[in-house]
Amino acid sequence: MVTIKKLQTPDGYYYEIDDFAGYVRALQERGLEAPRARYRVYISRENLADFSNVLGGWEDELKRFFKLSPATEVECQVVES
Amino acid sequence: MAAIDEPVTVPITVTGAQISAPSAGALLEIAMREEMEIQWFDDLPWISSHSSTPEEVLLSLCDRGLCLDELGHRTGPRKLLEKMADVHQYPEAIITLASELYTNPEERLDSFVSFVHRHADSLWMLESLAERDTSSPDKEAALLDIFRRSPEGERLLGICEVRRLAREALTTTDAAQIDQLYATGEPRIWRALADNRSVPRHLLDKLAAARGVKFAAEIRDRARRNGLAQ
Repeated sequence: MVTIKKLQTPDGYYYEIDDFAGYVRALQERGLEAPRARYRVYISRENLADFSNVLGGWEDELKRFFKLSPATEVECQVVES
Repeated sequence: MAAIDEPVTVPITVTGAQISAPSAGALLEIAMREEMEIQWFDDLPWISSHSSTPEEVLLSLCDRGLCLDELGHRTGPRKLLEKMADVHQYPEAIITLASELYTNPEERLDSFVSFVHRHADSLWMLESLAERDTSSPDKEAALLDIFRRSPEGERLLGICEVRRLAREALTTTDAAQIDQLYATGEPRIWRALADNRSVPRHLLDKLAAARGVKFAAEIRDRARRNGLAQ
């Protein structure tokens, strides 16, 4: 299970993969190309609020960006810390 | 000092009107912009092979001649394949497009003919087309005409003929024709015969013992299963 860490800031949220090496391994085990960069995604509170009513939603697209479930079979969870 | 394998951290910032709706494609576009800005190109292959990367990003990479291997192995979008074929002469893109134009009934005859003429020096494409069934007799006639003018014409027409005979071998019930088809010794024809329920037992036994020819294992397996079913 890959964990995306969600970190609150005064203006928004940061998201990043918690265990990058484990994430790369999980993608490669399923024959998926893994990124070489550790992406740190920031979204403002305002944007997050704008996206809150959109079908599928922000976090699903974030998982798709990282090639994680439901876009692939690599199970994942978003954990706020 | 950072370890050699320490990954580079790339920030992706979504604020203001940067993206109007949540989309993995928009994140990939921002990622590409960030990486271009810091002149770090190691992750462009990941971006260019990602299924959510927007067409504009793919075309932009293609225009810059970046990640051609990753782009050339994609199955789309169509505009990208056309650029990869026509601008970069990328073999896989040429074959993917030629096949689509030849086998999809929605694709027009003149588009197919014009494309094949533009890439007539790609022997790989011509061989690949010779192996395929078309969506229209007109396209097949046009392709055969191109083959007749090709320096490799004889061989290409030979491939088409084997494909035609293999199709017959699959369904014919005529004992004399089955004998003739078997006598060709052509592996593709043998493979088709091995599936044909009208092939007599003595020929199936021979096919089930085929060795030293292309598709031998497949021919043996099919012939054995056919024999068991008879």
